[in-house]
Amino acid sequence: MAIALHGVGVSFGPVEAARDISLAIPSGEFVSLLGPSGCGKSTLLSVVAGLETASQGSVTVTGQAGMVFQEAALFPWRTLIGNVAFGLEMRGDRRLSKSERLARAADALRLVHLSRFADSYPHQLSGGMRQRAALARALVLDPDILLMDEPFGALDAQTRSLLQAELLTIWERTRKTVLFVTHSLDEALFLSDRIVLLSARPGRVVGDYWIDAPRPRDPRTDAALAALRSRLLAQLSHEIETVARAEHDTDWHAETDAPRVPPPPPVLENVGADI
Amino acid sequence: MKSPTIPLPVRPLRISANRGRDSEHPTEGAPPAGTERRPPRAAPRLASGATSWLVPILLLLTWEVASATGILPARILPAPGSVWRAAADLAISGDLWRHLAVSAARAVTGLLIGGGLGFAFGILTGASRFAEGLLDGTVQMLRTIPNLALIPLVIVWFGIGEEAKVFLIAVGVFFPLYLNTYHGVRSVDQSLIEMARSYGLGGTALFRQVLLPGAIPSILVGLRFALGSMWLTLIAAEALAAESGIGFMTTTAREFMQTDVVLVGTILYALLGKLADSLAKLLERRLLPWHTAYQPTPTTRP
Repeated sequence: MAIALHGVGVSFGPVEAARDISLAIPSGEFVSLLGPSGCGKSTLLSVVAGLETASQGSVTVTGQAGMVFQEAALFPWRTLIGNVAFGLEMRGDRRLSKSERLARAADALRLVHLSRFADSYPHQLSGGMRQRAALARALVLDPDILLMDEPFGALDAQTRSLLQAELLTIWERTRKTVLFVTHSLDEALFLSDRIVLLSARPGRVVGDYWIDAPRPRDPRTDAALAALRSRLLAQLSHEIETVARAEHDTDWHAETDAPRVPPPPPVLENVGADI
Repeated sequence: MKSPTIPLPVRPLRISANRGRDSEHPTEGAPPAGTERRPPRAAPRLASGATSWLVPILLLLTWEVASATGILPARILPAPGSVWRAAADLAISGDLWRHLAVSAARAVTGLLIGGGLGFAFGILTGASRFAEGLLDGTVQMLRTIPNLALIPLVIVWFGIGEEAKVFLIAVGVFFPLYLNTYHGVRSVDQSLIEMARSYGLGGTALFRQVLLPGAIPSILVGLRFALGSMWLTLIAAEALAAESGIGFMTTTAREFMQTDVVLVGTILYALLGKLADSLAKLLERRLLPWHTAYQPTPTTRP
């Protein structure tokens, strides 16, 4: 197992972010953590990354992990290649000479097709390009595990589906273990081997689905995938409603105050679209 | 069929468009698509360039003429020519350089002491919540005292020697550097800090790799404010009492009614201020090639 969680609970003072989460992820698997906003999925990722500590349970991570955030978080004062090389500088890879580091950073940039912009500064690039550079910074360490925290959440729909396809290509080539946090059902369906559905806070595992549909996936042509999507959507809507109820006054009702129009579409208009 | 009102709105529009571009990029020399567009573009630029020089030149001429004809007495305002001669005399005798060196040394010493402390305290309160709670309130309180209001106290403490001047300058540059350093460290993008932490960065490495480079734009703004404050304080301190320096030179000249030398001193202060500002700008361009605000040409996304 690349990642193993046993009865993990995370609390911040009185706020319980996640409760009793057990999850075993074999290496090479692409797993999406799906759930409504504030369900503790990002917190869980931080626990796996070692940025937060679990209040209960045990976390076992085998191998090195690289992280990609929603914001590209590139240093504006470094060029792209300098940003990618940062990953190498920090991981104590002092044995590598500067030229070796730059060579490996250049390789990583090639992987995300940004070689031409190696000497550009982040502010000269589009959001999608910056996010690809952030991916290169995680990949340059050749980690066993990629932890991605809504990496495409801030991008427009077109750029988003482009980057999703690019991520799949890279994943198919490198077969890294990926733990991918998203609140987009369609994104999770398009990318993952497995979708772990989390409940509203405190986050608990309420669904664990393996998807064996061939890639590239399209629920419009794949009936089994469309059926799975409907099931997941129903379950997810329930969780979203729970969150919404917690965020509204008590006189609020989903059926009357936020009637779902149009009803959940049975077909996909856009792979990258949010739910 | 041609109505005379039709071409009218077109022409003023084109002229104003040309003017706008010229004032934004006065050195832009690349010709656009057609060469026939160059003459109309060059003409207003030349005109506006000449226009901006017209008033200063006219003023100088009037000044010279008024002095030559005796309308403007030399003790009120000596002729531009005699100011120039006074400057040349002072330069040849070496007095100019001696006073200049003394003043510059005072300014730089004050800047290094006050600026260094302001920078250090700003880093401290910016990076540590504890230091902020401990020190920031006091510093903000002291900041409200204009540094020139300290002159009587400073004379009591230090007399009228070099220490008094350096102290006043140090106080004057401390606050702008402190404030902007503190603010710069505080406003470093939180997502960068989080990312760096995920790579195991902390302590001094986090400071060196993330906080300091992130704060530099703001620190340089502080430096430019500090330079302004530095010259202002220097002038006030030197006017107070001095045995050398530009302030001493002008004060002595005033006592002997050498208005031309007084003017030389005034112009020197202006030139020094301009020089310091240009150096700060150069520093910005050198240190911040990545910052959009300091790019010589606007960058476009590819």
